[in-house]
Amino acid sequence: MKASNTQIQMRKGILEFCILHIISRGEVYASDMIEELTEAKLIVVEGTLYPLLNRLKTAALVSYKWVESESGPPRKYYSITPEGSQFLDQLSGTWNDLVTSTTLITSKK
Amino acid sequence: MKKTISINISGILFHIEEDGYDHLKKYLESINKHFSHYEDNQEIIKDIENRIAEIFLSNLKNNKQVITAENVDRLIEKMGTIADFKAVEEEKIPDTDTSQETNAEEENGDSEFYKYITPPDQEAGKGYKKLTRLENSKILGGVCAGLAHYLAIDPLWTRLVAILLLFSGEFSLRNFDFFPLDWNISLSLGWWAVLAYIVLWIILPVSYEKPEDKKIKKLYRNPDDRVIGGVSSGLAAYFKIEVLWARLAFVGLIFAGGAGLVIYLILWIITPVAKSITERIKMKGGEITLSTIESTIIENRQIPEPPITPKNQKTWLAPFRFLGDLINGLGKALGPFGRFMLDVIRVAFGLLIFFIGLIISLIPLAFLGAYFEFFTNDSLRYMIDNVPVEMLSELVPIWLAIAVSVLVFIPGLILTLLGISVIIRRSLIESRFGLVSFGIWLLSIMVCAFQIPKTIAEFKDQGKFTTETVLDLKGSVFILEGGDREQSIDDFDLVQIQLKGTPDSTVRLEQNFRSQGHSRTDAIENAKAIQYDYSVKDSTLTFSRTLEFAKMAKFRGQNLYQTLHIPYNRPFVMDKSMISILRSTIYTNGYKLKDVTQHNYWVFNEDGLLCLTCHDEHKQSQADSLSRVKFKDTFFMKE
Repeated sequence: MKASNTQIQMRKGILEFCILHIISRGEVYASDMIEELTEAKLIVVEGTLYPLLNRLKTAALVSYKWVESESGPPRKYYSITPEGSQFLDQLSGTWNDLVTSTTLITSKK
Repeated sequence: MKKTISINISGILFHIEEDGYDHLKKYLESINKHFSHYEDNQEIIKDIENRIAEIFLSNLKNNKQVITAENVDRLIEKMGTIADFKAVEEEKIPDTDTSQETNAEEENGDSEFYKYITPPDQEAGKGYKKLTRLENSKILGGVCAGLAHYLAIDPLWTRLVAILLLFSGEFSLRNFDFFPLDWNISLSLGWWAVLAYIVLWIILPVSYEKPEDKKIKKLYRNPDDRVIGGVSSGLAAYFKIEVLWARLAFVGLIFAGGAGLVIYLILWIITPVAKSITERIKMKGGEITLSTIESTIIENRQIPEPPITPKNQKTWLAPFRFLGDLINGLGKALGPFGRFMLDVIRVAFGLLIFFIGLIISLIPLAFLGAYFEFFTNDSLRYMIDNVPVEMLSELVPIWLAIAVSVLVFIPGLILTLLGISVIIRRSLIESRFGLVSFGIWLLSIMVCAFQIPKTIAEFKDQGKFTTETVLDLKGSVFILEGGDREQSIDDFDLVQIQLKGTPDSTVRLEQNFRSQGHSRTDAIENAKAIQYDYSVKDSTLTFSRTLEFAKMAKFRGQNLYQTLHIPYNRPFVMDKSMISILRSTIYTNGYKLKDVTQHNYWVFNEDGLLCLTCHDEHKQSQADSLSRVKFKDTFFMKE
């Protein structure tokens, strides 16, 4: 199980990065996010997304507004805040660095 | 066909299949619990619920109206189980040494999922107690049960107190009299209890919850250790005292005017037998756990060692123990026959109550019958507490008569039904019936309260009216006799006559007519209106033995006191019929009633009454001797 724990650790940061990235593209609804995330196999079940989004919101990286829905309860549409964009830029930089570093190491035989 | 339950998620109404509902409920509860330590847990849960509502709405297409269990399962699959949430949660723990825990948690995942956790706010709702009427455990209105629940005691106690209070009111009914002059109706404890009950009944809100406070001790009858009904051992278990004391208390109370017997019988009837093990534990006031069940079973299997008591206590307890053993032995010896005896006692008790109730309910019926003069037959002439029946309808207004009758009749009827209930062991009195009777009963109290003072006021003052007549009696000897027997009401002091000697030469009759009325003048008027007949015919003086109520307008406690002044040494004969109205004449002069016959001749002299022909040895005064000498040669002395 040690391996899976490491995987979780790795995935955790990346998941946050990806979610911020999706939101940064424009106002988005949680369910739509999930489609993209499950497609990328980053997330398996919907329920886990909500605590994450909540944490991002509490950290003031994202904000949301309520939009009335034709059928069903009103929906939360998420958008990124200036702080969030700044944070995303930092993360992107770190990610690029990591990819470079990882490729550098893993390509060597 | 499946039952559906309506639920509200994010303000949208869904009909959901019962099994699906159970599943969903558990799921949401586990989510609730899982996120309970998150800062913004309410918002997260709200988000999830919104999503659930959305998914359910998307399920309800093509005229489908109900969320199926399958829908719920698919939803959970989509949203993720608690195990999935946990997997994500692990990310938050930076420690890498959590593998073991993770493993354990994953295994527990499924059971954790179903674990029910009460949200903290629900428990807060139960925190404060509210006094309510308990509809589910009521006998009459649920007031007693509600009070008991509030005080965290067995409803039995509140009921017992209520019954005892009611009975204290019942006893005051005995002072209750038809005659307003000695009306003695006081608002005793019982009336207040009834009033309080009704007020509580009206103002308390109804609660349909089923109170099951496990820690409430319940009074049961103990079937394992019983002499008669197991009441004593049940009480002993309840109060944690030795059974013997409870039994002795009952035996002792039997000598206190039979109170012990009545209390025992009432407790016997109203307490249930502890049949199951649960009830036996409750009887002893323990919580129902595996260990208490086990200990109860063991206790029932093994005869406990007799408790060791200090030696001095043992010696003075010995006679009581012996009595206890004797009673126990008797109970055992009776065996099945004892059971039969119990039934006999129960039935006898029921019959007793039944007949008391019957008598109480028949009295007002008889009263009403008299009131409306159903019995106009002369032979049934009688008086109720010095009021002649024929005057009843004048004295008591019709509404008062009905109210008084109802006032007595309803408790009588209830007692009668209670008696039958005890016999057949099933309550005959339904709450609706009880309510209606109470209402009528209260109404009649109000009518009485309004009418009685009016009637009493008619008796407020007393008046007297006196006449004196000189009677012209012919002959040397005159005869005194009472009026015709058939028309009279004997044995009541409405008409009285006293004979007195006088030095005058004429026979004088002094009459004191007395009556009551709402004022003094009214009373005198009433006294003047009294019709009384006496007749003088040659030498015979006939006194009517009663006042003629039929000729009077109204009854106001009229009576007549007469004094007949007889000249000294004027011989006379008293007929036996005089006895009922004669006062302060025979005994005060040393004679007996048997001396009053038509064969005896009497005279008055300075020393009082003298019987000339009596054979008794009376002390002769000088005046008596003189009188005797005077009449020595008369015809009656020669016989």
